[in-house]
Amino acid sequence: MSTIQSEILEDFYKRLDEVGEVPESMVEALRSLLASGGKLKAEDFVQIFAPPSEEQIP
Amino acid sequence: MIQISSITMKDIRGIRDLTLEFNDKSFVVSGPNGSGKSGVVDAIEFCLTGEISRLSGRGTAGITLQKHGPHVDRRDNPAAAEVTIDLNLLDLGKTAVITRNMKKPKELRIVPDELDIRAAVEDIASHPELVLSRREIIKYVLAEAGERSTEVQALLRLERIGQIRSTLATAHNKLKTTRDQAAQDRTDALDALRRHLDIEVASPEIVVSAVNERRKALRLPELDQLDEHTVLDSGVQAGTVSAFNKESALRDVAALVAEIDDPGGGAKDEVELLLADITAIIDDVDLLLLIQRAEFIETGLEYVDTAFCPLCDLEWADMAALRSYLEEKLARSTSADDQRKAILKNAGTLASTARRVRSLIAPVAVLANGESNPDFATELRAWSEALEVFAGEMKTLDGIIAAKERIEQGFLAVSAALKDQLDALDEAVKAKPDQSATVNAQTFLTRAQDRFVDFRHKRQLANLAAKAEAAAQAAYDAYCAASEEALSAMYESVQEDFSQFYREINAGDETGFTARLEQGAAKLDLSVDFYGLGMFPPGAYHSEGHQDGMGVCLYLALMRRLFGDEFRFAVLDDVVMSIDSGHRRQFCHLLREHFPDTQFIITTHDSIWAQQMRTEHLIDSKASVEFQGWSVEMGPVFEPVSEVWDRIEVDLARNDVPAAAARLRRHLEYTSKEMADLLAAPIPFRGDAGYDLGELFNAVVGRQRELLGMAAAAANSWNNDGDKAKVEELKEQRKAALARYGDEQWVVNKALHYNEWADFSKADFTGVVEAVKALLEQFQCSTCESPLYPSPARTPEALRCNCGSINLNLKRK
Repeated sequence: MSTIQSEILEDFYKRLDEVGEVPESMVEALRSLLASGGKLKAEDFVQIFAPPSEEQIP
Repeated sequence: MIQISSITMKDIRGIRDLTLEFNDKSFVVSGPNGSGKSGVVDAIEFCLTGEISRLSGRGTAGITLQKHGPHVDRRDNPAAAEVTIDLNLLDLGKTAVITRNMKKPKELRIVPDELDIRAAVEDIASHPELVLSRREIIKYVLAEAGERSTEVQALLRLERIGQIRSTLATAHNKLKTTRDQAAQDRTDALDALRRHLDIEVASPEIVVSAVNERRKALRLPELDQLDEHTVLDSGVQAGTVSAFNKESALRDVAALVAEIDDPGGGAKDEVELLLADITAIIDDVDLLLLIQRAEFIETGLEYVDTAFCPLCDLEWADMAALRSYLEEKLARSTSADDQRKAILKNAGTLASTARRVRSLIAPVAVLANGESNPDFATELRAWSEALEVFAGEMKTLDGIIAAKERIEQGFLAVSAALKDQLDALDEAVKAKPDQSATVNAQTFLTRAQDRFVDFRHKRQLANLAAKAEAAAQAAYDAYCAASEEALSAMYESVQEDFSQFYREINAGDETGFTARLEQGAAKLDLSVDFYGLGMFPPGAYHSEGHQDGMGVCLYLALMRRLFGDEFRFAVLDDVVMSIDSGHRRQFCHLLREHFPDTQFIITTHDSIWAQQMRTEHLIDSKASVEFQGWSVEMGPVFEPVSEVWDRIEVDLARNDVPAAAARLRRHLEYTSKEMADLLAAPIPFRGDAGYDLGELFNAVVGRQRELLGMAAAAANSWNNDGDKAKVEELKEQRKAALARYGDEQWVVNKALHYNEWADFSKADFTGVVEAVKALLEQFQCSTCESPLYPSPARTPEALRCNCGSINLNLKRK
């Protein structure tokens, strides 16, 4: 059944598609994280948004 | 969604062995307090969810499902307690039998155990709100705004929305901190480069100019521009020169000495403000407590990820309730929190300064090591680490208070010994012979390239961190906008439905009723109109009965929003006990009209209300059971028949005329009151409301005659042959029914005034029963069995029934 949560998430992804700051790969990662339904931790989001670690930078 | 066909309960709560056939339709269980009605509710809830909500939550310490769920005689044998429900799974078009045993309440036996059936049944198990008691319903109305928000969010499964929002906010804050630190690292790296190049402004042109001056001295090709691929020391053979450049080293030392000479680190204003704030909170214990509490709660909020409070380990009903409680508590200490934020902001400036000084220490420590002074190098590194600790202390109030003395003395102040060693290092470097122009240029370029690479790296990190922060901010904003828009729309629709439902229940009383649901931070305000005098909290002026009505209306509005057309099942446990008789009829009408396909299992201790539900056709005439008592050994005592005429027949079959007479009289009393109200029959007012059955009955019969007369007159005036015929037919039925008594007055005298039926023989009384039944039936529509009623009641324009097959005009031409 359609829930308010799923309505909000769909609108959320739609809004993200319209802003330049969030690339498609990040939106996909967010979809995947939020679809899991598991316990959310700030670190999960940080990993999605965060830059690569220092060692990974050329 | 499901509907229940039947339920079999064994040794659960107050029930020993009972099967009820609901036949996928609404059903009412009535009976006095303590007769076992709630046992049925508990059994349904247990079988569907594996829980019994009244055995958990506040005030149930020491009560457990396994110990207290079974019948008291089976308290040591939970396996004896079992509930089986025959389900109709509407979405799947399938039926299933589910069984749950108290010994293993988490296990559900399903026959047939198919994947889609199990999924559908488990989905229902996640909706405990489908089983509602008055206590639970009223909380949506009378709860504090914060608690209401929690309850409604829990009901609508909105906890996840708040959880996503706050987790996104936390992630954004972390990335903001990372961004700020990365930006500072970039600035420090740029300062190091600028210092080495001995330039004031590090624009590309000036950098290129400073570098080319040395390249020219070495006869190396000059640089045209500065870009990300530029190598400042290209052409200088790697490893041929040391990294030491005397002029640059002296500038590094001088920069550090300058910081030591200004132990406030250029943050004089921030230091003053911070010290004033620290002194104020140390002097004001209450303020300190408030601020500490705010900080404590904020920390706790970050760690909420279960229903257990991370601060005190207390278990809450759910995570949303705990989160909401902490957020509300935090909001209450707003001013203290503002002060805390100001303190943290100024402390943050000091922390930044400390980190900047660390970036100055690093090259000097390398220099000290290269000058064969490893002990001093170690000491400088220890100072650097101490500054890092100080920067960490600046993150918390306790840390800041603990560092007060150090801030007062100059947080960058160093020991005289260290200062002396630094001066000695400076002297030692100065004493070194000047480097040749070539070496100077070579080491200058090599060191410049090192610092340029470091700066580019830090700049790249800072850019990435800024992008990450911007992405997190955009995501947070997008989520807030999406959730606020959806929640506003949702609350608006709930508010409209709620208002409409309530107006319908109170038709003729509160026709202008409106309600307002407003969501704030962690709260949901509900205000309602009070007779056009303004908007007030529901508990302000409305009676308990009205509040009950609001509770059930808000619940229904929320259910409609949650399930839409799939709201097909609910258990209402004594939810409208304070609503009076007239409004209950409207309530039946509301459920029938707005939720015609929903199966309501309703319990009530009021037998009149149960009868009203039948009269108003909310339930079928036999879709009910009336518990008449209860015993430990037997459980509920009841008769399987539910229709009054069936019951009277049973009484007469047992030759129990007094019981049949008492039942018939009670039925007449009930029907007369209902009909008098419905027909707006004129009855002399009595202050004690103790209306005599004879008065009521005469008034009803008289009012019916009057209404039929009006219908006949209107039909004649409009020359409406159809209405004329219908009125004539109704009059004939009425006449025949009255004639069946032989003498209308005889009925009034014997039956109504003097209650002499109890002395009749079975044969005599059977005739009376048939006569009364026929008389009452002629008040009803023969098609839908609803009573014929005038509309509007007091200034009637039509006489009609619920199905519309009778709709007679009462207004003459």
